[in-house]
Amino acid sequence: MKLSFSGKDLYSGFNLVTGIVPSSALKSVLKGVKVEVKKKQVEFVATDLEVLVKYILSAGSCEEEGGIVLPAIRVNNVLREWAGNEEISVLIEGCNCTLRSAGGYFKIAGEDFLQFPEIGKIRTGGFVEVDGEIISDMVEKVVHSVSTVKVRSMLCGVFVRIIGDDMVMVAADGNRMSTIKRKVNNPEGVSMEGIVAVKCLTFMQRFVSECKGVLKLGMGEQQVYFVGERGEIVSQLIEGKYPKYDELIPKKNDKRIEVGRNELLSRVRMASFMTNEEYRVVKFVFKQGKLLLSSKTSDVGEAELEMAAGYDGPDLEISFDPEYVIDALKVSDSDTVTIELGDGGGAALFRTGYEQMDVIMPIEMK
Amino acid sequence: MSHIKILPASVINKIAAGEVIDRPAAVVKELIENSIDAMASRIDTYLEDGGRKMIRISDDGVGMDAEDLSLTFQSHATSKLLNADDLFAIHTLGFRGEALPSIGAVSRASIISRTKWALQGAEIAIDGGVLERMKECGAPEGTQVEVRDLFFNVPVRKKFLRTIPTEMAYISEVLTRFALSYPAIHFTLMHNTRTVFNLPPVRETAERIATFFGDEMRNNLIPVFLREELFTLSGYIAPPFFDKANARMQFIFLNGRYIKDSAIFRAISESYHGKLMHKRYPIVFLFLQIAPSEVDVNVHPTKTEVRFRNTATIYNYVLSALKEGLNKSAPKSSATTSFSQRTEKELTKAGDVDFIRGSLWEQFSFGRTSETKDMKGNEDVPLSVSSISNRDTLIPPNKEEIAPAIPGKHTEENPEKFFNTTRSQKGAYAQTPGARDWKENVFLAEEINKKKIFFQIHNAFIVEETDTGVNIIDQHALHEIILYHEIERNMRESQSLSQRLLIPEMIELSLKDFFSIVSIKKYLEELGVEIDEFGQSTIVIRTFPQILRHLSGKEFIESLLAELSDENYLKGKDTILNKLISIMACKGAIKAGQRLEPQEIEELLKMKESIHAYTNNCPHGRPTTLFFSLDELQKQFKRK
Repeated sequence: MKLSFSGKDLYSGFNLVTGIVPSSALKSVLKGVKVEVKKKQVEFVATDLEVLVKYILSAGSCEEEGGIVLPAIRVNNVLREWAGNEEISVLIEGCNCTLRSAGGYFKIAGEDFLQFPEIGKIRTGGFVEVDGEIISDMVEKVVHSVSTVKVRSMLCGVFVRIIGDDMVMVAADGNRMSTIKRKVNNPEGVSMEGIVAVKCLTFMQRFVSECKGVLKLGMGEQQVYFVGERGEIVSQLIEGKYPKYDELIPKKNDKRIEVGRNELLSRVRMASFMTNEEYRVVKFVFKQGKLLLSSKTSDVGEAELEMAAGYDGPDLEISFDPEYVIDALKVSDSDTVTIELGDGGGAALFRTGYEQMDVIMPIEMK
Repeated sequence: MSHIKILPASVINKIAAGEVIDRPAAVVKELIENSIDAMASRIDTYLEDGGRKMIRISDDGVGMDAEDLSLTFQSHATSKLLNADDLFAIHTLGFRGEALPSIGAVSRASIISRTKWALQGAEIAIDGGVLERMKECGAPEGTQVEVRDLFFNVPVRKKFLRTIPTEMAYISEVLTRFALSYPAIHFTLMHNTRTVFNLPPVRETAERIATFFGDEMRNNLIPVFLREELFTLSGYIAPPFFDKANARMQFIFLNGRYIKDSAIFRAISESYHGKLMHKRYPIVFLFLQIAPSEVDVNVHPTKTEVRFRNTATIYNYVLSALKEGLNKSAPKSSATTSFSQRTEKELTKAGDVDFIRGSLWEQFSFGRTSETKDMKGNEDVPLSVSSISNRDTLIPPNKEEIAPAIPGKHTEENPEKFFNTTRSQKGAYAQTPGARDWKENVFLAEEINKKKIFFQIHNAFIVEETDTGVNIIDQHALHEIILYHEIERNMRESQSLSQRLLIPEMIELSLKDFFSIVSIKKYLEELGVEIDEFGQSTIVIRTFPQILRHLSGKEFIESLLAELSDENYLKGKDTILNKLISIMACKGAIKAGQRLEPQEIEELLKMKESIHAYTNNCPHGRPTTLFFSLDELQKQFKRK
């Protein structure tokens, strides 16, 4: 079975799926990329058993069907060197593969493609359509709040909910929460929700940067599917019940302060210079027309910074972990950010863009 | 007919004696206390048969005249107390007037005494509680009490006496305590004409400590001192490596009196927390001066138990004084040069040193290069090759062909010597292209020639060369104790921050654990963990310390439950805080099995040097460092 690709196409496809190949796997076949030819298409498939990625190229004039599992890293290294070559031919004979291009060839031992894990039939209630870049941007804006503490596993992913033509993404780690809402094309009017692993979403972002265009998104009971023109991603959903996120958004925060996003980001970052790993806190004091930011850590030093703020209420004081505020501001595209505060120690709401917000819990001093 | 009868005086006295006088050592204690209260400057103790046959205490104190002497064997006759109020202003060791009648009731005793102003002394004798007539006699100034045939009339008690050596041990302990508490008094102890000890007056308790426990202990003693309004604490504590299997080496003296007090014991063990293995006890000599109004010593006839008006304050004073003492003193390392000088001579005699070094140098240069390459992946790098010295890391890799190598077999020589000799080899390398750089290296090397060789073995231990031998360090334990001190300092210095949770964490516990956690709720709250009870055995965490942000509430509660034994719950905030810090340190520390880069090892060793606290044991009490002295190694290799 002989196939032929342009160096650039073959490398970008193979390189993309190689990204999901686990660096250490007990089954050697999992350290490979499955190359399978069927229906005049070549599928490049890799999986770490949680996320499965498929990339599709045209098989050209090849009529045969069959396949091989190629050692991912080794072949990827070869293809990287040949990425600029006009043509690379791939000859598959049983469990051997010969890559040939201008200036030489590689004969590589592969494995039986039938040994490669298959996924069952995709079962969803239906698909919605959304521009890949929009969904990728949504992930970008909430992923910082995903928990890294494994014990509360349901917080280790991004909650995705689609109702009508609204898609909401939520990430929370127990101390803060980020949410964003965007429109999707939902002709069938399907509703779906699930907790999607971060690994799947960051891979989806890579996928989108490689293959622009519309993505179809579907969710089953246990899986999520992203299907694009050039390939697809299938991932297990994280089991568990996600907290009722809309109940966590403070409704009674009646003090609103408008501040410049860039200015606030830079001030908070500067104030955080005077904190350390063990003692991370920046105090926000809102006064008439201004915001004072201060930090003080023994052995490190102290800082006090001032900036203009659209506020005319009584003096207000609240402390935050600067990292949380920086994370929220960094992903904001807006020039101004609105902070909404309530009375005494409750959650603060940072409106950082259109239908985009971060709820951050304050730090208390004991 | 009434069944209740008033006991005869002889029986009353015997019963009273039972409480105070239970063995010869108790007689010695009571009599010496009297001598000290009589302001004696010399107290001689003479014993026969471990005090069973005879105890004689003589002093050069103020003595008694005949009138006083006639009252001494009367119950509750004392010169030390006039009325009940005096009980709270006691400045003497005795005051109950019980000792002499008690002794008199169970032995054949006599007292000979003379005051400074009297021409003649007087003698009074008592035989099993029966007072004999007083007579005049010649006597030196002071008092001599002789107690014969102890318990001759109380056979049951006599049966309970132990062997002579055991009784002698008790008596020695009593004398040791007095000798430590009163260094200005000359004490002697003789047993069956043999002198057990003779302690002339000294200025400092430390000298007495040296006499009893050796110079090594004295040289390592850490002085402690704290003065507050009604309280002064002075004394010495021994570094943790002098630990004991029991608490008998914890000498606590209150206003000169040896006492045992559970609050002070707790403060001692708390201050050494994390520096000692489980069930090991530190050695301390503490002298407390407390205004008599603040303490009640009249709790038990033997007066080793006392009651403080404010136990918590005393606990805190002792704790802070000891902690300060322990933190101030850094572990000492003595420098011995004699060995390295000697080996230098031996090596020079060998003649072909230069040859050996030359060839090894080549090997090690290769080793280094391959090792640098293999650092990440290849597990097959031989251990000897992965030995990295700071000297090596100093030298840029491209200059390795002229780099001085680790002196292979001769690692025993000290760095100074190594660099001196390599410098003398300079001529040999002068022809190589890197000769100029070599000079620079030597120069650099001279600057840091105090640095040592270190490397990691089995991804778990660090072997470090020191001036006097080799340290083998448990990387996890060392890092753990360093973190422990860092976190502790941070916690104490700054306000603790707690993060209010957006999504409160619910944790289901067993009923026992649930109640354990609820019982320490208020301490946890002070540390930033706000907990609410929820349902029958579920807790909800509402705030969580920022410093623990890498831990989930569940992990934290589980570790806390595992660390805290039942009794800890009663001990309050400090214990729980300590446990908490241990958990954080343990979770944060590098693990055994983790490969460390040379820079990381260097950093760890630097931290060990710079931290002003004990790092000999991890917070769980396991040792962090085993030291093998060169002396020991030489002996093992039969070179000495």
